[in-house]
Amino acid sequence: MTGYVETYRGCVHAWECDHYGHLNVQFYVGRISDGFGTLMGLIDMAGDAVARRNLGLVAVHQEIDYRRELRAGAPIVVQSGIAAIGGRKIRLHHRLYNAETGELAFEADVLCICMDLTARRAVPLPDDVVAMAQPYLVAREAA
Amino acid sequence: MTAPVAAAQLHPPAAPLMRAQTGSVYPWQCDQWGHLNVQFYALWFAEAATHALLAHGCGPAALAAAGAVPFPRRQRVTYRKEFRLGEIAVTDAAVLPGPDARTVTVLSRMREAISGRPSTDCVVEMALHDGEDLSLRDWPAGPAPLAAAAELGEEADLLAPWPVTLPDGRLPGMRECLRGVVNTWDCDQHGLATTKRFFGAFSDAGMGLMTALGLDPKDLLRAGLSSAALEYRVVYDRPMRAGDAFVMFTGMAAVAGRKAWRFVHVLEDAATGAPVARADVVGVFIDAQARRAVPPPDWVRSRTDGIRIG
Repeated sequence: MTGYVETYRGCVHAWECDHYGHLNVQFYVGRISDGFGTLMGLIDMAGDAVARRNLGLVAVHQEIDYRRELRAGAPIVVQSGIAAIGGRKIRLHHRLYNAETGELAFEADVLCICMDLTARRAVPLPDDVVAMAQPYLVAREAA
Repeated sequence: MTAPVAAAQLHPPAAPLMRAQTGSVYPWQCDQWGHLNVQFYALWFAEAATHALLAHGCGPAALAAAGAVPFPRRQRVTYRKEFRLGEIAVTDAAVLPGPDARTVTVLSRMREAISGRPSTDCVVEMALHDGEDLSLRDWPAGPAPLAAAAELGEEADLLAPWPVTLPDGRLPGMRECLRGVVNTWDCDQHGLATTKRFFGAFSDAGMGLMTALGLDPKDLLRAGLSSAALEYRVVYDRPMRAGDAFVMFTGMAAVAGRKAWRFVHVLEDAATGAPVARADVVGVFIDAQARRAVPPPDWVRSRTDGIRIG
C-alpha cells in the first residue's frame, strides 16, 4: 500500500497573506484543492477524463483543523490519502506541512460525491476508479 | 530543520536531485493557446528553487533571519512538452556551485507525473543580496556540500553551456509592446517582483508584437494555429518593486527553420530607461488540434518577413 502521497509542493506567496501577516484561510483550502487535483489525476478523474467520463467529484462536507500559521515564503507540502471509498462517496484526508519546520500546519477531511456533469446528480463511482484508489487508502490517523 | 513525515512521491527523484515541486494545472493557468502559460512554469520553478535551497540550509526563514534575499542573474527554461488542463507536474531540483563564488546554480527538471516523461527544464543562476541595500552577499555554507556535476545522472544534460547573446539594450526595429506596473500582488515576501511577473510580461509582450503585426491571436486560432514556446533565455539586470513602472520593447529576430519564431525583449524601467531584464525567446507555431509544430501559412509569413531586428 502506498498510503499518503505527496500531492502538492510549493510555497506560501506574499499575495496570499492577510493583514495578520499570515496565509489567509482561503489559500489553505486552495492548497488542498491543489492536492485534490493531483489525487484525481492518479485515479483517472482529472483532465481529459472529466469529459470522457462526464463525471466529477464534488465536495459536500469538509472538516478543517488549522494547527500552525504560515508566513509568506514558507515552503509547504501537501500529502493526501483516501480515507474511505464506496458507492457514491469518497472521503479524502489532506495534511499540509511547513517543509522548513516539519510542523503539521493544517489538515482537512473532505467528503465528496461522484456527480454526473449533465444530470448534476450523484451517481455511483466507476469500478475502475474504485480499483485505482486502493493504493491510496489510509487509516484516518492523527499525523 | 525537521522534515515532514514521509509520504509516497510520484516518480521519486534520484539523488542529488530532490522533489521540489508538485502541482496540477487549473483552467485559469492556461492561456488562449490551450496550455499552461509560461508564467506558471516560472512560478513552479521558483518554488522548486526554494525547496532545493532549503535543503542546503537556505530556507526562507533562515534567509529572512539573516536579512538576505536571493535574486536570479540569468535563467534558461526549455519546454519539451506542453502542460494542459488537469495534468500533474512534479519537479526535481539540485543546487550546484555557480559560475562564480557568489552564485549558485539550481537545476530543475519538471515531469508529467503520471508518465514520468520530462517536460520542461530550468537552469537558474542565483545570487544572494542584502535585503536592505541589495549589495551582494556570500551564500552561507549549508549542512551538506552542494551537488557536484559528476553526481548527476541523466540530468547532466542540463549543464550544457547556454551562451546568452542578448543586446545590452534596445535595438533599432524594436517596438513598444507592453507598458505596465509592478503591483504588490506581483511581489514576493522580500518585496521584489517574482520571476512569474517577468515571464508574464514577456509572454504578454510577445502577444503585443503579434497583434502589432496584424496577427490577431483569434485569427490564428480560427485558422487552426496555436503557438508554443520552446525556450526562454533571460538575463535579470535589476529587481523591480511594487510601484515600479516598466516598458517592454520587442522585436522579431532571425531564426533557423520555417516553423520557428524568435522574439527578443528588452524590459526597461519606465522612469529611468535602465534595462531591467532581457529575454531571447524561441517558439513555434503548432497545429491547434494535433499539437505538433507546423510552418505558418503564407498570410502569417507575409506579416513577419522582413521585419527582423538587428
